[in-house]
Amino acid sequence: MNAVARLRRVAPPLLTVAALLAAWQVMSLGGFGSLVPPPADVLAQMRDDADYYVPNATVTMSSALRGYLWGNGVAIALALCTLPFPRVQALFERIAVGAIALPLIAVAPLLAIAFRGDLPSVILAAQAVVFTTLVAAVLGLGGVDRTSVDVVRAAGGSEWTVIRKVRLPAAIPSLVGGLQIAAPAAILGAIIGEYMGGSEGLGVAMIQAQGAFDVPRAWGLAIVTSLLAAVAFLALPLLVRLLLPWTRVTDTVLGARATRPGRRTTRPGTRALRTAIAAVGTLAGVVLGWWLLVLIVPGGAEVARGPREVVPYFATGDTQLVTASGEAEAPLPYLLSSLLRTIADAGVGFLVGLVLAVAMAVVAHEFPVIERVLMPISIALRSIPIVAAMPLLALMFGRGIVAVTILIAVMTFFPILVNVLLAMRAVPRSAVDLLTAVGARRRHHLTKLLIPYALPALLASVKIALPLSIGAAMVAEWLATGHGLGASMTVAATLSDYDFVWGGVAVVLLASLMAYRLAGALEDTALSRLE
Amino acid sequence: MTHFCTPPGMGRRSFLRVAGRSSAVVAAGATVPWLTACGTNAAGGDGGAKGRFAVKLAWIPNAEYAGIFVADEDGLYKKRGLNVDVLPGGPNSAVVPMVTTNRVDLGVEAIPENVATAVARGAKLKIVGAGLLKSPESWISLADRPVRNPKEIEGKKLGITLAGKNTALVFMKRNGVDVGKVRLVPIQFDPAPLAAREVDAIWGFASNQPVSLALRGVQTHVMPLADFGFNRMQSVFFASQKTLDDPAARERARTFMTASRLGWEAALRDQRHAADVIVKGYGAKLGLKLDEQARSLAAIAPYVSGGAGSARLFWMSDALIKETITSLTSIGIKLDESLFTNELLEG
Repeated sequence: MNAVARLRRVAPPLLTVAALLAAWQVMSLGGFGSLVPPPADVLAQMRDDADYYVPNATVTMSSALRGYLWGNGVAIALALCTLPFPRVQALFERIAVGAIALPLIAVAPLLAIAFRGDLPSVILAAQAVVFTTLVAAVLGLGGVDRTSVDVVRAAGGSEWTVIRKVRLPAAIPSLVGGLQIAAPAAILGAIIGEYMGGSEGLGVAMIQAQGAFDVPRAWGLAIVTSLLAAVAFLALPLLVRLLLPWTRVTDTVLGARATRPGRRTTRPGTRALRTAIAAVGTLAGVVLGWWLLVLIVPGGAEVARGPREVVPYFATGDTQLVTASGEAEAPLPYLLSSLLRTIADAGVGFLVGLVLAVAMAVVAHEFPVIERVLMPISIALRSIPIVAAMPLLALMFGRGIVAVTILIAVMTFFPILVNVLLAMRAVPRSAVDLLTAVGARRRHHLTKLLIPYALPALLASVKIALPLSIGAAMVAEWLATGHGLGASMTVAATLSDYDFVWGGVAVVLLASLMAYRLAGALEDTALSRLE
Repeated sequence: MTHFCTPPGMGRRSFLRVAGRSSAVVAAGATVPWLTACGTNAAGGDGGAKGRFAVKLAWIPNAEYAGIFVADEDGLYKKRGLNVDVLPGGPNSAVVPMVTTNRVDLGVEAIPENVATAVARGAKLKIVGAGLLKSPESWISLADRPVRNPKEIEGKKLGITLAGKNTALVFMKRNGVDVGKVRLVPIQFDPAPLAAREVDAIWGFASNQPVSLALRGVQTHVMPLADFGFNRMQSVFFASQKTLDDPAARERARTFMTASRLGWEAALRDQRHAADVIVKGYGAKLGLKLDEQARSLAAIAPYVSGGAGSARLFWMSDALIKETITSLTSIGIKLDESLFTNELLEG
């Protein structure tokens, strides 16, 4: 690489940093004065705090790393199981959706009574990565080039040879993308775990700094956390290239299209029946999983409730919850109105996040400079706990639908962007060359090649983002608006009203699974049209 | 199935720790019988468990728990044969469930409501001492735009924690505030929204946020709820009925309360030393600042001692219990005197 090329590579991120610093300086002089300290103050504080970052970051990163390894290990193992047994894929994905959709407010007391030390942090870090990695791995393993499979089969290769020689190597890019998405998520999960109680760690330090209104210190911690996440994100592809050098060539041949497992039928009767069976199955699965969870944790019955307690609770309607009007309300209508609010919040946030992420992916693909400018920002947004950023966000965007939408978009934007961008990159070079040779314009490249090619990844991203946005909506409600399930479940938990909390868990799980099914149906329809 | 039992010399706490960890790998079916078989045995009266004692705090280590830290540092627990494990809390800490399930011997909750509602829902818990004999809970506003009485809340935007939402709503109603004219938004533990004038007032501790804000040049006005008919004990110590019924466990809890009381007395006497202990021993990795902790301790001291110098620390007088019951009843919580007991503080 010559000096000019190197400069071209390095300049955009440096310019981003410079621009951010300038914007930061301006904000610190303007109306956000008390919440945005000048960069010089923060840097001075960071210099003073230098030896305080190491022990705290060590604690957090140790939990995050262990959770990262466990979560990804489980996800990859599950994904590999889907190869010999394609039928279990839907089941595993549903379990992973359940894992990501379990509200922290219900899980925290269970973890607290079941585990000691930093184990809750490790588990939350693992929980944060299982789902996205599973979807990425399944996408990669399934998205192989059909001709390669045919070649191996024609040469007398077994299904195992196909897995070894075609599917695993083909899955590497998508899997690496999944592992990259997981890195900031695991760090955030570990920090959230520290919010359950601790005496050290980046999360605990952040609570201390915020509670003491030590704004420069809180900013310093946020910067250190983002840097750690960014290093993990950037180091992963390098690490993979070092360990598996042959993955450097990801070119596929023209005409390659994913073979997709699963069956499709066009008869409306059969389809309706299958939908009905799936709906009943999902409902039964939620109830069963819920009941098992209550049994698993020793002493769990104190803080977790099974259907046998929750159903009568909502039927008889005795509650001490007070709604916004200051009056006690019957629990069932309260639960349902909270749920509707959450779904509305999640829906709006999801759409905005999706549109923004796809638009950004297209722009970033066409102009690689933009990607180098944007990636640092989106990594930072993904790894800073929203709790820490909330006061500033509320000041800038209020606490209405705008703030909620931004919070959800922040939390779903990053996985979609990474997945879609990755898929666009995997467009066969031969196809690009062909279009260029016939004189196609940029618009044609986009509509004829990039979008169709990235469609499976885009649809997989929708599958990821829909359940994520329900969780994100609940976080936003807890931190920003004080309405919806995120808020009412938190209030119920502090009142030890665990019947309400677990009623909430049940409806959230059901809503997430239905959202996931919806995304799956969309995927099926879109992909069958394409074939 | 192999039947495991507590090995001699393995304390109850460490047993639970091991059991908790194993349940991560052992399937539910295998863990639960193991726990019930040995768990009851361990709680019954094994000799080795005598000295260990775990206490779960509601928040991260700071001046609010100065007495406990001083007692530990000065060897007041050790001297009485008690090996105390202090488990710090945080924004998502689950103190009540950990005490209800006997995962810890004693818990500290910032507000008695959380214990009272758990008891109303069937938990077998008792409040055994009051860390704060007067409530520091207040509406905190900026000095140049003060909220001086409940009526002035109307038309304002107020920051609350979701945990205190019920209390805030009912407090306003009792004081004749039209809640329809008030906007409540959730803030967590961060006073920043007030400093940035995003909200007009926040719900907090007189001994906490005003101190932090003043240190950074933001002057506040404090309106204590206690001045408007809502006083109660706070930072309450509580234990499960099972702990109180078991002679050995009860004795450990009594020893802990005695040593903690002496620790608080020492902390109030020599606040400089106490701040030093917090900063060096417990907050070392959190970068706590000596000056800040000293001021915070000075601010909380009058609430620990209840204002009048003669009051006995932690002791819940009949008057305080009555006041607490009245306040909690007024926000719709059902409770009576049986929730409180001074039995661990006597003698």
